[in-house]
Amino acid sequence: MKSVFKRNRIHLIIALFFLLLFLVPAAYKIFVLKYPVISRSSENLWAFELKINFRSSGKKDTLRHFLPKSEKGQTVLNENFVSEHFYFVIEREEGNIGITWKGDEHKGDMQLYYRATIETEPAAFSLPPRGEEKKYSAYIFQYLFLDEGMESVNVELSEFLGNLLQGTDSKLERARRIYTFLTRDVATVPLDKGSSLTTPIQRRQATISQKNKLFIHLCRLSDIPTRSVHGILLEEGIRQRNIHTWAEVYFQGMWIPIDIEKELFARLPDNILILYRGDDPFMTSAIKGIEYSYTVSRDRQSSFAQFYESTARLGSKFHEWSLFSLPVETQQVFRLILMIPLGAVVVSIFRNLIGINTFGTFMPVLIALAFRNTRLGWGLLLFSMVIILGLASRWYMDRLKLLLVPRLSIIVTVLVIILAVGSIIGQHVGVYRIMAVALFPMVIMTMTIERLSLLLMERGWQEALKVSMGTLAVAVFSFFVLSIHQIQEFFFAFPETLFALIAVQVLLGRYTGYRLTEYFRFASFINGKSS
Amino acid sequence: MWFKRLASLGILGINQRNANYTLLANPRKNYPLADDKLLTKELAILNGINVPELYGLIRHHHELSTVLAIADKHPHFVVKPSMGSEGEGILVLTVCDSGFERPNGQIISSEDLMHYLSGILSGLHSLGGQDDKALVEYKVEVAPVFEHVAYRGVPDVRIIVYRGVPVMSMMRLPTRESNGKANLHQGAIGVGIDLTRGVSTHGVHHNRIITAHPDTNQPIHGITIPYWHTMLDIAARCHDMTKLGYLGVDVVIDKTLGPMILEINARPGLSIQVANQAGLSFRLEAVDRNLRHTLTLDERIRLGQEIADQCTHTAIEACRQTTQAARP
Repeated sequence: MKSVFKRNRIHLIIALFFLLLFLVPAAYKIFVLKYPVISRSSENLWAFELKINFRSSGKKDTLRHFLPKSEKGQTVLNENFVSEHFYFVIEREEGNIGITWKGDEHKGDMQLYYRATIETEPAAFSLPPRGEEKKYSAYIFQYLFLDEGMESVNVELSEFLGNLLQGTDSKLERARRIYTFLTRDVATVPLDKGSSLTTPIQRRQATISQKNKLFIHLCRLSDIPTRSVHGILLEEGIRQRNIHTWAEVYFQGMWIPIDIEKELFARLPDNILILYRGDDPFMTSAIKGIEYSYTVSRDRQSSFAQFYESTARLGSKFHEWSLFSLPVETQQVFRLILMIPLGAVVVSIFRNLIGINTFGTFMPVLIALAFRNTRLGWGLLLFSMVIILGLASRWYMDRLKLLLVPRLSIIVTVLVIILAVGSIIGQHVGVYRIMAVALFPMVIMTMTIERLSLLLMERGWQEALKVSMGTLAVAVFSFFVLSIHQIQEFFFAFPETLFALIAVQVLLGRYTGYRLTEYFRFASFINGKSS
Repeated sequence: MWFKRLASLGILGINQRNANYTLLANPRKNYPLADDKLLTKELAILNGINVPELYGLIRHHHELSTVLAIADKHPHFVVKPSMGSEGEGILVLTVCDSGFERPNGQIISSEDLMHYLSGILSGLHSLGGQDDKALVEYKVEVAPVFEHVAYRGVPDVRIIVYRGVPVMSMMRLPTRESNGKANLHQGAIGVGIDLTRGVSTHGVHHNRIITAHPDTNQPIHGITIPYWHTMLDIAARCHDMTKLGYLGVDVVIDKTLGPMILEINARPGLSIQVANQAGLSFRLEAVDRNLRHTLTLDERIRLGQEIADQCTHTAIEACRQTTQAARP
């Protein structure tokens, strides 16, 4: 063993050098920049888009609405504002973020867009222990004011509340009594004509919005600061304007959510995007005929991408010059390209360590990459079919006695036709996987067909089958390695891993041990027949 | 562990052959001298080594019909691609009434032959698929000693030469299965040769040790190969003329013309070890230890023979030891 190291000292040094080229930047990223090492794609990542449509009259229009902010249960990762003739001002007030769009004097149809990437997480609210409330600040105190529009304090209501809250000694318990009364004892109806607050109590039925108002009113009457909260329930592909409203009550320095509609006490609904607090409408403007809608979709980004987006604004040069700074489509291309060297390592291992014969060096890797789009089953089926059809045409052409280059050109043409027809059939049958055949590496397949047919003629079908099976086996194995999402993301976040691959290849390149298949080749020595 | 057993027998694996021998000993620029049979032939003639006579050379498609003129003069001939590997693309032909006949009885028309030749020119059989030339040459006749052990083909002798020292050799006998070809993985028989005496030892067919030819049932061991020293001499001189450090020389014996080289291989295969039931590594290492620049051609041949003898004994000894160690 010692002599092996001595003879290959230079190779070991080179391998070590490349290993360091990988380890140093990777360690810097992991330990200093705190890159996540294992990527998991987040289930709670959402792309939110708000679209506002109206016809501008040509005056200086203004319009105001609220924006989500990062808070308990949600993180706003990435925001984007698009408008052609409007500029905007963002201001914070009373725990809300508002945006005011101001237009120039342009006339015509207007579109304003707000886009954001939001990560939600389940938020648990532990109820505070019993204790005396300190004096409320003026800010909190405002949430005890009773709405003047409602017949604020009538005798009937006070009496009812007195009965309801009999024997309660804490504000929390009072809030829970009111919550239980509204969710259990009052039926929910879609429409109710009565506008007074007492009629729902008398009739024991109310609409959702009445219940919400009633809850806030009763809580405030019981001396609990309460406010309403508005948000959007995040569901895949939602395209509507339906704002969900619930309440927050203030206990010992904490706002606790209480949702009458969804019957949640001290819990936020799952996948909720909190927009704003208070009784204002979501959007205010003097413009007539204003319409807004929003779309929500899951954003299956990796935690690396998320991490990058949340830290990109920190201004580190390392981030600025990383692959994440590329346009998204180019990023996707590089996600694939970075996999090719890894596939080549797999091929090296199969050929030099195991000793499996394949068509060409990179054929298996390219097939494996094509399989990523077709999935494995379809990929194997389609690939075999294309090869067999190509072989059939090649077999017929053999009788025509064509020269080599025109013959190869015909094979490549036939392949293009097969792939085009396959794609069209896929479209019409509705099996879209078939369409991905267009991504098969055509030129390499042409050479494969030619070599396969020569092998068939010269060495017989056993040999041809053996090499084909070897190629497919390596392709399938590479496919499994290359489709590990974590590996792909790791290479993308740590492209210096390619240096480690060079180190591995240098070592593989000096591997002078036996190949696994040489066990069979030299079996007569191993079984000791020679002695 | 089988790895250790193979290593203890000095079996050379393909990775080791590539990394430590062909890549180190064979300069890239000298490869064409082995890969291009035309260059090999010219070089051999310059060095006074016997080769099958070249009847004609076809370089361009418009010259294809010259093969018919050659066939008029020489009823037996061989067509081969200049840059074919492992005996690929070689066609042995005899003129007959309806065209040309192959040794297996298949009849080929003149038109088929022309198409075949144009395939060769387009690089069908060449290593990298690049354009090639077609050689039309003398058909070697089987020497009488081999008549009973060769099935429809000419046996050839492969000699491995390392740094000018012949280290191992084997004879390859065509079979019905190999269709007259001398390629071991196509079913030809590999027969080990005692390097000192030029006598065949045992045969290997599909990795199994055999004593008789499967088609003719004639014994294949104990055949004394004529011109043995001349053949070793030719092989060693192939190193001197190509400057390839690790090569396999394929020599045939013609009935009337004696030994001649068919081709030189810069990446000779490893099956020769199976045919000899001996490993190459120890011999190659022994050459590295004992070779001096002052050695003459004859001294190099003698060195190779001594090493082969020694290694055979030590290999047998090593075998005995490992099998004894395995059974305490």
